[in-house]
Amino acid sequence: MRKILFLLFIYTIFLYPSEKVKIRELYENGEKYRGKPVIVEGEVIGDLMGRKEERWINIKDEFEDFAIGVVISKKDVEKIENFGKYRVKGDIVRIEGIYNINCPEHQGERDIHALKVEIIKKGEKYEEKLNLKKIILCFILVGITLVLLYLSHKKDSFETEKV
Amino acid sequence: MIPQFSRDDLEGVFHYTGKLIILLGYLFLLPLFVAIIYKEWNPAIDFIFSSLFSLSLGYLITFKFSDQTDLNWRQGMTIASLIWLIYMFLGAIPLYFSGHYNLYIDACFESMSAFATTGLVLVRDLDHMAHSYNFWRHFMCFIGGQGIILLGLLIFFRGASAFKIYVGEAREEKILPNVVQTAKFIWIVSMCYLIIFVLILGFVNIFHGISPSRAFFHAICIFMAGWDTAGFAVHLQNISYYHSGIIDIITSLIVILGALSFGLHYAVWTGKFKEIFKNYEFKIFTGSIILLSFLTFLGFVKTTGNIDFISSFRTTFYQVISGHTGVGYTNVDSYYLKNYFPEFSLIFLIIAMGLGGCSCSTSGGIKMLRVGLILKELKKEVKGYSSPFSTVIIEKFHHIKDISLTDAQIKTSSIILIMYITTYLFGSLIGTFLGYPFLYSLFESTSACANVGLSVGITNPNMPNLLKITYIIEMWIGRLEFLSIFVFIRFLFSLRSPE
Repeated sequence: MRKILFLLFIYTIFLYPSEKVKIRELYENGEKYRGKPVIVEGEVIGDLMGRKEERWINIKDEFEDFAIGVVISKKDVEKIENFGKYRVKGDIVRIEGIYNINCPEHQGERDIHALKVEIIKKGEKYEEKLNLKKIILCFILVGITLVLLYLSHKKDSFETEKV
Repeated sequence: MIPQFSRDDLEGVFHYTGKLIILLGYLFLLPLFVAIIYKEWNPAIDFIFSSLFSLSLGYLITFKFSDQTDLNWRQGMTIASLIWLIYMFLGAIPLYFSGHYNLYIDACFESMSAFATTGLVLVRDLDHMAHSYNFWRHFMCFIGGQGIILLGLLIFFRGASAFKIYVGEAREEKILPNVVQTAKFIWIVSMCYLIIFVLILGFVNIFHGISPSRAFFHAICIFMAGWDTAGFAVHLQNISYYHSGIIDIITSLIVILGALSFGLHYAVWTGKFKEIFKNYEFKIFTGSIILLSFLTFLGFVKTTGNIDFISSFRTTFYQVISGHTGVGYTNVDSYYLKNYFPEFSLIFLIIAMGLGGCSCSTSGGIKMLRVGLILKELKKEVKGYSSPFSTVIIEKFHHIKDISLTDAQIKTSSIILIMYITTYLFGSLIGTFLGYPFLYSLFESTSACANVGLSVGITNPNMPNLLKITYIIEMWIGRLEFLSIFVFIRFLFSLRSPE
């Protein structure tokens, strides 16, 4: 496995220069890049997943809704600190690797086998600001709901008595 | 002439609609609880607002319109149709507040897609969505799949009203003598499977390296959307997010169980295991999955000959299972479906989606029992023409019990079949009118109307609003199976001049 990766790395660096592409491009014109080395940039999102020796991350374009799975080494995992989720902006990574539309190693997955992983921007946690207008609106609604609840119950008991 | 709605009819319709809106107000408390657990304060405020708004609206309606005795058929049907629209508008409120939707109509689309268990999405940046909003998306799938009315049956519909409103939600089978008991059984089965599969999926996710709290959150969401054949997922990549064959297998199992008739579940739960092998609908369903998988696989392999057998099988079989059960989970993406599935395979995928799962299940589409009945009738006709003139031919089938085929069953099945096909075509015509290729338009329209959720990419936040509205209507009509919608249209006319 290491030998293959080494050969792929040599092939990538010296014989076939990687092309920088957007993740969207890998979906829309995937055939052009099938089995070729590519460079993609994106935010690491969700969870780190791992099986046996390999690790999976998912990266998403910073500005568009396109994401792809990337197989990376255990060593490269250590570079990633932030995984994007609610209130967390994930690390922005530059991945250089081989793009597969039907990966033979992973039962036909569309993926990238990373050869080089570089963090180009650290992610961060951010706090949410409370929306005061909504809080005030909620208080008003509490009052309205209680009044209606009272009237509704009063009407029910009146109708029950009538019966 | 169809009788006009009277003022009393309208009172009853609005009163019970108000009660169901109050129910939604209380249902918002569950995602609020999730928001508190994850300390998501802004989403918490949104759920408090949505809950209070629904409660005040519900109490206002019940205060204005009085309770009456038992509901009649047209009232039951109208409530069933009306409440799904109201739930769509109210369910969309927290989604729209989340900031993940361009327009309120997009949030309504997502809300209807969830309640009708379709699975088509217009959400943006799903990967950064708060847990509570995401939970609400999946919980709506669960409520809708189980049935809004079915939930209401457990709480406040009693007596003769119960069955009339139960039928309005496209359910005819009474598994137990009483519909309230049937509703209880459906919820018990669902909760049992929920516990089993959340544990399995949770531990598999942990095994895959996901942290325990997120592993079980994913498991709950995936089960709710899978069992109720909705097909929403926690992340943008849907099931392909997990890059796992094991997750593919487990989700396939969940969706197949969800697409089986609750009647069959009941038989198995009460120890009648032989029913699995005798049940006519189950046999037709299994046969159809095998045949359509094989044909889809054949077309796929012929076009993309360089892909190994396992990969091809995994890709095609999962999409057919997903389409046939109506879940819409996918381990590929819309571009893959568009670019690598040849037209030959897409046609069989459309057929699988259009046919749907079993009757009295959580899946949509024409339903296998109806298809089976029409096939039986075809067989009967052929037998009739090849037998002496005076021969009386009786066709029987086994569905929980032995049943003789009647003209009434054939008539109902044929009408529903024609209505579904017409709606699939109508939606595809709108798509074609707006400039999309016919086959892709048919694919998307069938997916919306049969409440599936697979997409070849037409459904996205930038699609024309006309198409969004078309698909919303298709999802609604498809979920309720036409009849109650027609009664509802009659109700709308009555509003102008009640008798």
